[in-house]
Amino acid sequence: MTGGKGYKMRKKFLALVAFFVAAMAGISAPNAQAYYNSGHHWDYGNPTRVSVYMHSSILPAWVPAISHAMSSWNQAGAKYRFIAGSQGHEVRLQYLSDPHALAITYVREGWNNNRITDRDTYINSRFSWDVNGDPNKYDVENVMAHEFGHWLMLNDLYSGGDYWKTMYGSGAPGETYKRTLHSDDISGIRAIYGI
Amino acid sequence: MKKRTIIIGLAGVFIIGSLIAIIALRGDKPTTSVSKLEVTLTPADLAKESQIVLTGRFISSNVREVFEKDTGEKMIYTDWQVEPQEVWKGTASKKLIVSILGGENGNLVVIADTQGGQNLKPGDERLLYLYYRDDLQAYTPLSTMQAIFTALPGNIFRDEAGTEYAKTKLTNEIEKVQ
Repeated sequence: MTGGKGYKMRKKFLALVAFFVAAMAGISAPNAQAYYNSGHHWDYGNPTRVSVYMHSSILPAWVPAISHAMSSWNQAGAKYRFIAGSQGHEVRLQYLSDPHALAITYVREGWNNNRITDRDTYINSRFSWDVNGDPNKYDVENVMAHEFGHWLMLNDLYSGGDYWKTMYGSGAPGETYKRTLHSDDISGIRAIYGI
Repeated sequence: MKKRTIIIGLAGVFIIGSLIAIIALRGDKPTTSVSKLEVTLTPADLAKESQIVLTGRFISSNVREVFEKDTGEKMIYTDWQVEPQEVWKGTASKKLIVSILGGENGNLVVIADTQGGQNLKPGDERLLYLYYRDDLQAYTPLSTMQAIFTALPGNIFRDEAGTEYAKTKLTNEIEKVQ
């Protein structure tokens, strides 16, 4: 009987270890590096609707490219929609003091428990831009697909393994792969807004 | 006597509860988060484009508000006093000031999405690639994510993504540790 009690104890101990290992695996396994969000989000309506206003500094030829970047996120299957509007949160072409920033996005939150109140993106006019993948210029849709990820509160990624994701935090001339959302970008946005 | 104690106790609980509720309903301070998509900078780019390259120790910091003319945004920068350890390029005073985006001043909080400059504390040692930004009137990293490296023993430097680099022999460049 004593041996039986010891066996039961060992069994309990092993079960406890197994549970602990499984719990740790559960914590670390599901896309720990897949996406990175700030924990904040838009919270207006269901689905959330985000109005995007393209400032007059945006060249007419760029509008379809920016609209396509909005559509890419709209098609991710999460509960929000980017909508083009004559007012709202702005996308603007602007000369920026920072010589290494292709674009800067500002997110403002008020005294309202982490709810976003405003969002604007400035595309840096220091650089040469294009909408057709010119290898010597920066691609508007590529960059705006990344910036719209910030609008929805996904943060930058920098690990080498994250390179092929839209939310990878640096860009190069001629680069267009960020136009197409990576499955991890989609997982991230679905985790924030639900499906 | 007992009744009085109970009434005072209940009043105390009510006041404390109300204060907690007010703080909870008010939420966090107004915050501006700043996200930058930066140009990819290779080690050669960092060495070429920086005016000062150094390893240094972060000593103390002050925050200041900066009105950025180009965007009309009120930003907060943290001015770090950095004590140079080894200067690889340019000249640096013994008490160099390095401005890094992000900080908290009164009721305004600015958070840079890029993590590089956000978790600094006195005593930290970093390899920094700096340039002088006129509008800030201070030196600042070429990139908060790509131009700040944690200094490790043995002249090894780790970037924010965890990649390790070593100093090359002939230049002020670093190269990936294989």
